[in-house]
Amino acid sequence: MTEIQKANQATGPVRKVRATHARPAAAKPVRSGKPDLTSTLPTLEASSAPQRQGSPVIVFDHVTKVYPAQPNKPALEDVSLEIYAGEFLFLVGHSGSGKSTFIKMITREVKPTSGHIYIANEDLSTMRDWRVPYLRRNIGCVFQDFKLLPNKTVFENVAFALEVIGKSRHVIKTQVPEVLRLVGLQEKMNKMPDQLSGGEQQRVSIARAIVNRPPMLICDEPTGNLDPQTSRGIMDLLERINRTGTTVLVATHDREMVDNMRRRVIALDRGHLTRDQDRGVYGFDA
Amino acid sequence: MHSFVYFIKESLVGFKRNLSTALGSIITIFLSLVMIGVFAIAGVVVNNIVKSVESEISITCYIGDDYKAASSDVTSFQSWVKGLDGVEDVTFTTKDQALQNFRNSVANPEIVDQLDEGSNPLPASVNISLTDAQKVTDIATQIEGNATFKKICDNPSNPSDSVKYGQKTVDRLLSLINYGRYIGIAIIALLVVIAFIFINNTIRLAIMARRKEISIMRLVGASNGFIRGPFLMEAAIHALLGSALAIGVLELIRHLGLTQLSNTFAWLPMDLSTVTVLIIYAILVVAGLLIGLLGSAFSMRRHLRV
Repeated sequence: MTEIQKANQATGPVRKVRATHARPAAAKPVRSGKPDLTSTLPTLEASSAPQRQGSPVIVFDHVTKVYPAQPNKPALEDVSLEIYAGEFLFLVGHSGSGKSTFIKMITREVKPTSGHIYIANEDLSTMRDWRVPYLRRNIGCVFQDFKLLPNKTVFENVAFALEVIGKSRHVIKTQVPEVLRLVGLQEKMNKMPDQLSGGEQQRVSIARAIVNRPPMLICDEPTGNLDPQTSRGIMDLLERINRTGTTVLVATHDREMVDNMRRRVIALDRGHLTRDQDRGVYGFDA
Repeated sequence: MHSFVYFIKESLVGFKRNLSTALGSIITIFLSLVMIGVFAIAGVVVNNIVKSVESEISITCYIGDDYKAASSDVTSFQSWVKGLDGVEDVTFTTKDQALQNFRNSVANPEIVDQLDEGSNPLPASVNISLTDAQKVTDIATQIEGNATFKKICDNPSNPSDSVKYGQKTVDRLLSLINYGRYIGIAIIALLVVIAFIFINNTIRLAIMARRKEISIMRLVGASNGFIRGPFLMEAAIHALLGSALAIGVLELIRHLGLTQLSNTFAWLPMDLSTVTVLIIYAILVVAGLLIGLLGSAFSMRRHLRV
């Protein structure tokens, strides 16, 4: 049994963050000066607690990242955590807290300066470069700015993701309409991205991220450009995707969303993991 | 197969998108290949000419007038020369034969008859034909140093005076050819570098135009080979077009220019065999593809770091 699992059993929903002896501040599970957050929030039935089985799919093992441009200010420092298959997690923190670095490390756009990241038991720091594309085929990515190709239709944008990993035309013809139906855009297949609303564009980008049926979906502020109602629609969609067994990690600033959904929350503050909490809340001051 | 079609489709799109830079790289490839081709063809032609000149290079050793008395020395000298490396054949020309040859070669043989009765100013000689013209100086030096030759030669006080092989002409011809070769190589190298830079630029612009696509391709896990494909294909198309143009121009030069030249200098062998020409063209296509593919691979390296 891992340390976290043990801690989990002992302390309930609020998980103990692995202590760093060098930096005691980083080890505080909840920000000081505030009452224990769980005690102030309505309790949930035990049955809705997330189930964790088997070994974790993603493990951060004392990961530190220092960018050469800022040698004295690590983007991430001594971050350790585990993510299990089928989880839905929020990654919260202020700008510059290391959220983007965290995400880029999972897709191996960034390598840790020290420590190790394991995905499906494979160490990313020793992974050969030519294998990285195959890693990324298993991780769908959604961004705040959608990253759609403006000169391609909705269908072509989604098909592009399959095309470039060498999927056959037959696969494309069956999977693309299917995933567009899932995100509710089956009527807009032949529209260009600029003919769609922001929410619809984000659905296209989600469709593109999951059309290859990756086991993991990472969203970097997926609702950052959208109004609250549209955001809720997107979150519903992400939840539905999560229910099919996909692990979903959402980095966000959207307090309301995090507080409403009550999922596992990982909080980063200036590069330190300050909180890792099941059914957590946003927890930062506005 | 599926992705190959995709590469071609995408590279044609890229071609249309940066038509001017594409033309730039095609033209530089074309120019450098034309230069390479001209030098290759000229090289073959000059080589043929050199060979025919070289085959005419021979050494003449003049023998003193009393050779009849020293006939055993002459014979042993002849057999020694024959044993030297690079010597093809050795013949002996007597004084009478020399006079006869002279009579045949001059326009007015009467002047020979004007000579005093019985006197013959021409010396006898040993004529040496060579298998390897490059060794002419070497062989001549050996002959000059030969003890027997010193005894029998026409001018015993200075044996080297009795050995003639037109060395100045040969040396000058060979050094001229070498200079030509160096200049040609320098020009070709320069053009290849320019073509490289142009291809580099073209592909870089194509990459810039498609940066967004490339970032999405990387995002969804397209392999580097797949991302590289369209750009390499684009460069290959430029290279093929450039080399096709170059071959066309070279054909024109060969049919018009070379025919003209060989008519003017009929005494020089300028004919090229079709096989040689085809080999040169094949080399041009391969060189063009190498320039194009290496140039584009080089410019992409930075953009494909994972």
